[in-house]
Amino acid sequence: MSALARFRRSPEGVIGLALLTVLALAALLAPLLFPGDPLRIAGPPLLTPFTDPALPLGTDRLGRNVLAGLVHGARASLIVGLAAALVAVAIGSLVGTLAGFAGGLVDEALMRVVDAFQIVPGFLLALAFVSVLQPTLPVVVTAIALGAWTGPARLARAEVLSIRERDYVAAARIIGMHPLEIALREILPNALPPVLALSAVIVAGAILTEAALSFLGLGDPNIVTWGSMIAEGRAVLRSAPYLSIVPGIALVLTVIGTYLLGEGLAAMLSRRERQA
Amino acid sequence: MNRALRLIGRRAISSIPVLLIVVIGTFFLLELASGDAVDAYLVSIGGGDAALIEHLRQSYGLDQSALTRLWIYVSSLARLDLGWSVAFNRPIAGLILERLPNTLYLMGSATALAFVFGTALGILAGARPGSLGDRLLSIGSLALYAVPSFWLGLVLSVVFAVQLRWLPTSGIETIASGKQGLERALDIIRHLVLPVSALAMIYLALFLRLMRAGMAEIWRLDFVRAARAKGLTRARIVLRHVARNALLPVITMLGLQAASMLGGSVVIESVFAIPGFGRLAQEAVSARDAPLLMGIIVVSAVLVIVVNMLIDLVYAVLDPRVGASEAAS
Amino acid sequence: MTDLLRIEALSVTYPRSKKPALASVSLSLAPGKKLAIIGESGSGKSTLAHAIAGLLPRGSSVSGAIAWPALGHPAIPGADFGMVFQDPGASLNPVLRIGEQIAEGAQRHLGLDWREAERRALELLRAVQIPQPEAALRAYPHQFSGGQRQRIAIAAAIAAQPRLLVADEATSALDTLVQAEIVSLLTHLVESQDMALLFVTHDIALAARLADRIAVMHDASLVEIGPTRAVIDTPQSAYTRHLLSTHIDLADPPRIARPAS
Repeated sequence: MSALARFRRSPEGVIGLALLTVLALAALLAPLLFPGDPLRIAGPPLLTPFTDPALPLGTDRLGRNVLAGLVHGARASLIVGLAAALVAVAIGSLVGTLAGFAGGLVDEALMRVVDAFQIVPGFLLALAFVSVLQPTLPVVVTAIALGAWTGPARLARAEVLSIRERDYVAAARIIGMHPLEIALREILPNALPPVLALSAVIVAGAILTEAALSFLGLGDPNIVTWGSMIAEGRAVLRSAPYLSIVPGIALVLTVIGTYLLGEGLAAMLSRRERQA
Repeated sequence: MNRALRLIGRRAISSIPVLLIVVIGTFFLLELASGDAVDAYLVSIGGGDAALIEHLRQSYGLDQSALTRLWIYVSSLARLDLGWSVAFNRPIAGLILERLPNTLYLMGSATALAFVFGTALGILAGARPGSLGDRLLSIGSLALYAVPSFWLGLVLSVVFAVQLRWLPTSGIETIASGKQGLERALDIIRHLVLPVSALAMIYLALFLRLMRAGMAEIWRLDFVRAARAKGLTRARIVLRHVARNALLPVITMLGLQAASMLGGSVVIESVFAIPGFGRLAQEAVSARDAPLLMGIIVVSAVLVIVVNMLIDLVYAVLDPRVGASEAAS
Repeated sequence: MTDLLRIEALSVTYPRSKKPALASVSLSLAPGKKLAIIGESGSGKSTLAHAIAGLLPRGSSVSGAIAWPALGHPAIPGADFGMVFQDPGASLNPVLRIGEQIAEGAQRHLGLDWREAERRALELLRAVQIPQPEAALRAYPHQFSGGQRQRIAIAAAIAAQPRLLVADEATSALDTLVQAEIVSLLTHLVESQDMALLFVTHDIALAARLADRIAVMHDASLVEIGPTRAVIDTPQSAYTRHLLSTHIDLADPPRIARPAS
């Protein structure tokens, strides 16, 4: 309860939460608000915004409802962002915990792999990964996670190194727990809070990467994304720039909301730690 | 300088296994592709008979096992041979070398812009923590940090190229203008203004935030109180004591962001139709030219390693404590 | 003789705190004299030093007066007083050369250019007995031991020839032997350069050896102030007697481990 109170006292966190709540609602209610395929033709092409109450944000080059695309795009952005961050944090925490706990050669080898992933531009890797496989949602999620798991891995490893000499870990070792069991049951939960604080940044990065991939035409062609809407608008950038600008604003607000929420959570977590 | 050389040497040696992991990993990733470069080539020329296919496969070594081909690849890589691009029908090394300068201009200028303005504004914000200016810069940088570079590029080109007509919308220079020397350089700079700004903004915001946060930490340290007790001017305390120390994590971040910036330039080069390294990556993807994509990834990894070595050098110059413990032993 | 420093009814409350850190403290210090402020941690002795040096955190509420009668004007940090901190590892900027950190105060307050200020820094390094002072000018803090760093910090604090040196627990982070060296250096410097010394410490034995006068602080208030011998031999307050009895036999100079503060 008091953690919640602390969160509420951070204006960043509250604004971020409000922004993301609106987005999440839009994403959840998309099939109810705009039933049917958002990619279908809904009206005349290139309808100017605010001229037809049925199509408040107008239509694109092919006569598709921009607002419907926007709301359905929120779904794609949030799903990909959260899923990619989840995968990245899960892989990273696991690898980092393992490396930190095992030490020695295993640590050395795993950390060189982390290094390797860090020197290859994540976006280039995602590009290659998607082009080799098919641009479906799970592939895009994996591709983005591939470029994002090294941060959590390093953080988790550092946490483990600082924690593993503490008493309860030594105690677990004495009662004969298997090292892996200790890692999973004792260390991982303790190393998690700072990793979670990093997660907001990863979610935001994943949303931006997904947008860039679909902007380049490497997203799932069967779903609307903000990146693909921006790319779609490019063809008529001179005559109808709003087609590219509007989904971009949605993207910016989502990412800002994520950062703000992250700052609120970080403030909450850090204050709790100081109390402990 | 001895200390710097030792650093470089150690970094180079420790990079070799990492680079090997990159090569092997990428190799097997691209093995997952359904269809190889020959298939893609055949599609582009409208098909061919079995003899031609067999001949092509043999000439690219595609009839051998994956491990053999990996071995051939690694050993030719050691001779700086990146192989042959099917899509461009040229050696990959030459192709990359031709495209790389444009990307280096783009990245170098964006880094310089982001670093100079990011740290300067960060110092402005961090000089008086909690002041109105600090809060405005903090909010502004957070917003800027959320703006995707490709979208910013589009917005900038709508405003400055399409509406105001101040700057060109695309390309690296005016085609067939016959411009030479300084005139040509100015032409290239005019073409780079928008893409560089679009690419730089997110990093500018990042450096600003990092500088500001670092300074907030350092204000609390004893040596800053000591500087205040010496009665130094505020400017000297802010710049020489606080900002000088807060600069160190920014320098580290500069190295960490090299890979991300290279990735960002892929999208920016696409938005502004700049014939660079990133554009080449996109072309390799759409032509399904796996060896070219492989070469691009390997070269970008090497580039990131080199940038990080340079950053290590700069860091060693700025922080006298680097390498001190080993010098003593 | 006109006092160098006179503090009257000084009270300080830190921001976001209800309890005052300093409650109506009055004392004075004559030029060239050595005053020790002793007390446990949290007694307000460091707050007093920070208030004198103008280093209180922003938003602290302050009442009372700090006057500098012998100067005739409000003290200028660096020029009229110098300050030495507890942890010599933290009070020197890790990325600047020693020479610059000593010279900057001289350059600021003595009207010297950087070359002259550097020469002054060299003199000061000699005065605080740093070996190979020419090389030390170009060296960085991490290249010195804790005791040497504190000598360097002292050199930097007195670079502009202040009338007062404020030492805030300046020897507490050092081991006993080094502590004794720093104390004798401080004594020598203030006596030879006619500086006053305000020495904040929790070590009553150290205070007794060093100071002309001792001020005892407890719970934000000044409980006793007087000549060193008088305070030690015939303490007026129960708290001072308690400090003396729980501490150490003063016949035996500070060889005994201090209680953790």
